[in-house]
Amino acid sequence: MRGTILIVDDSAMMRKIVLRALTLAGLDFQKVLEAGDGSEALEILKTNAVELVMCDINMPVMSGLEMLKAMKEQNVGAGVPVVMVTTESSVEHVREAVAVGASGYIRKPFTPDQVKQKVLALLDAA
Amino acid sequence: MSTVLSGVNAGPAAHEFFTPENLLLMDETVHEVYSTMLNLEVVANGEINGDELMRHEQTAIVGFAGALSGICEISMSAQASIAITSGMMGGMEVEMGPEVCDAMGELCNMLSGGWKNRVPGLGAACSLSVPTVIEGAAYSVRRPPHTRINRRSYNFGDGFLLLLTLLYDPT
Repeated sequence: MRGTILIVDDSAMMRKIVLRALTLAGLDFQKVLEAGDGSEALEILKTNAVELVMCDINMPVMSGLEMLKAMKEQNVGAGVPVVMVTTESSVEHVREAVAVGASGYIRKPFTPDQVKQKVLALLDAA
Repeated sequence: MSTVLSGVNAGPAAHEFFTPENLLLMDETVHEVYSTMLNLEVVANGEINGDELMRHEQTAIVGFAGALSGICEISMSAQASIAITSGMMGGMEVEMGPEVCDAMGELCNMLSGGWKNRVPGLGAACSLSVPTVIEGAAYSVRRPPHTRINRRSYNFGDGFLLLLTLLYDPT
């Protein structure tokens, strides 16, 4: 059993789908936290020990990339792997996300196996 | 309700993205999203011509901005949208409600994003809006007369129909 995961997406449905994919992949977390945008996620990261963040890019209020920049600037969630889960999968988008601190990238649509491979690689490396 | 597209963000090369070859890439995108996220078979019926009303009770729209200014719109019946939602939830029983609207928005988001990322040169040059979902069919949409529209239809599940419209403003 893993620790705490934070799933960030403005779609409650997508948050459920990500969690379901993790569960189907055999990745169980003790605690699941959810945020509807980057700003909410930032507040959660300030007060919770999180092992992994799965984050959308296109969100209202604060996007996933803005959240990554804010994490750096405010020194929040240092060392916590952040996996972007998004339809924005061009090479340029991936480079931009990695440049501002993303640890990994999963393109929507995804299979549970793809989620498992990416997440296990990150958690094992952490 | 009405929507007017301004075309302010249209780039000079927008027409280069709206070729028959690139429009066909939507069929590939629909197939990938349906098989991966919904576990549903889908059959492409090809392009639909004519001006007939292309709308059912549930509609989702995602906007394109940047190199291509336009929208991707999907429309389906209430029952079809419930089937989509159930597919996303791994076959769980679903009733009409906010989850269904959410699923419609996400489906439109994955289709529009998947298509633009398949079109050479469009992926990073074009941004997507967050999805808008409309319930009901009693609304009108006004568009500039020169707007180019490509309408496609797909069958899935228990005889359900997905109507998809790609549209851009070349001005």
